[in-house]
Amino acid sequence: MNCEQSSQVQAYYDNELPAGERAAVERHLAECGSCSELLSDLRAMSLEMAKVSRPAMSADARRRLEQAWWAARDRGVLHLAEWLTAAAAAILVGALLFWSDTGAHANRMAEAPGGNGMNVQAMNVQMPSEQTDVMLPPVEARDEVASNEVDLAEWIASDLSVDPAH
Amino acid sequence: MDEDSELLKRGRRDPKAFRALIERHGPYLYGIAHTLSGNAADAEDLVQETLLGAIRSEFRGESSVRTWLVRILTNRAAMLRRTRRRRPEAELKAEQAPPSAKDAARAVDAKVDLAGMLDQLSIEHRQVIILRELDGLSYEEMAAALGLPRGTVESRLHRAREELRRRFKGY
Repeated sequence: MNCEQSSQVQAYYDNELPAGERAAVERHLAECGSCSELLSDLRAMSLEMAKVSRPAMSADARRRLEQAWWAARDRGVLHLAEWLTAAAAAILVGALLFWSDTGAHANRMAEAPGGNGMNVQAMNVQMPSEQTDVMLPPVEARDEVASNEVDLAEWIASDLSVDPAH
Repeated sequence: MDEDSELLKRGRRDPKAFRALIERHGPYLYGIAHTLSGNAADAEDLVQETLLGAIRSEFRGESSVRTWLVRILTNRAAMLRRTRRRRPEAELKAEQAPPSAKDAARAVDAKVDLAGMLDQLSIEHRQVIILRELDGLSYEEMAAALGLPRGTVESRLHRAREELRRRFKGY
């Protein structure tokens, strides 16, 4: 049967008690058979525990750890590549939307009454959106508007296709 | 900033720094991991996850680097244990290390297979026994390593020893 002082005995054994409490536990140990048996068992268990061999990490294991670092780095580069690819795609979409909007705007300008494009509010009322899709700006204008963004996106995408492992 | 903190910081980009971390802490972590997991393959995985996780995280300097690494390791080991517990027993048996590998970690004295007894403890009890008995950590150090209040560590160690003592006396 355990004595209620058993946790104090363990703390005593682990050298975790201040001097005053140690002295009190030592007095208790002299009188309590249960606690002195506990102390004896703790010592015996520690002796046995010291015999438990802990296998050393092999040279192969160390090498695999180092290899894992390179693999993790490569995965990180790949994650970055995925992120940049997504960014490139977003730029492409943005460029296309910009180009589309520019085309529609040019179309509206061309179709507006008077042809000078100054009365935008009136133009929007008079021009149903379905009709604006019919006309496109000249090819040269389209290329000029979007070329920078498309070039950038293509450059990023092609750059990321290179194996980042080395 | 001490040398370990510096290595942690550089370890994300510099393979030499990571190698130095392995040299300084790998064997110690591996010893704990092996005793916690009971086999070499899991121990290696745990050390790998611990060190790679550490260099990707921010070390706040609230303890020593080694204590922090032990904390990561014990958390990973507990997660592994919980994952394994949820899987079918047949699947687990297929993954068990061969007896020869397991025996290497066992007690030299065949009469008292203390390593076998440790295997039968819960992961929480095994952690405190290993950190105290095999690694000699103080209560404060164990509390920091396990991320627990000191009082919890004390009571857990007390219960773990009582359980181990019952098994020990059975021999």
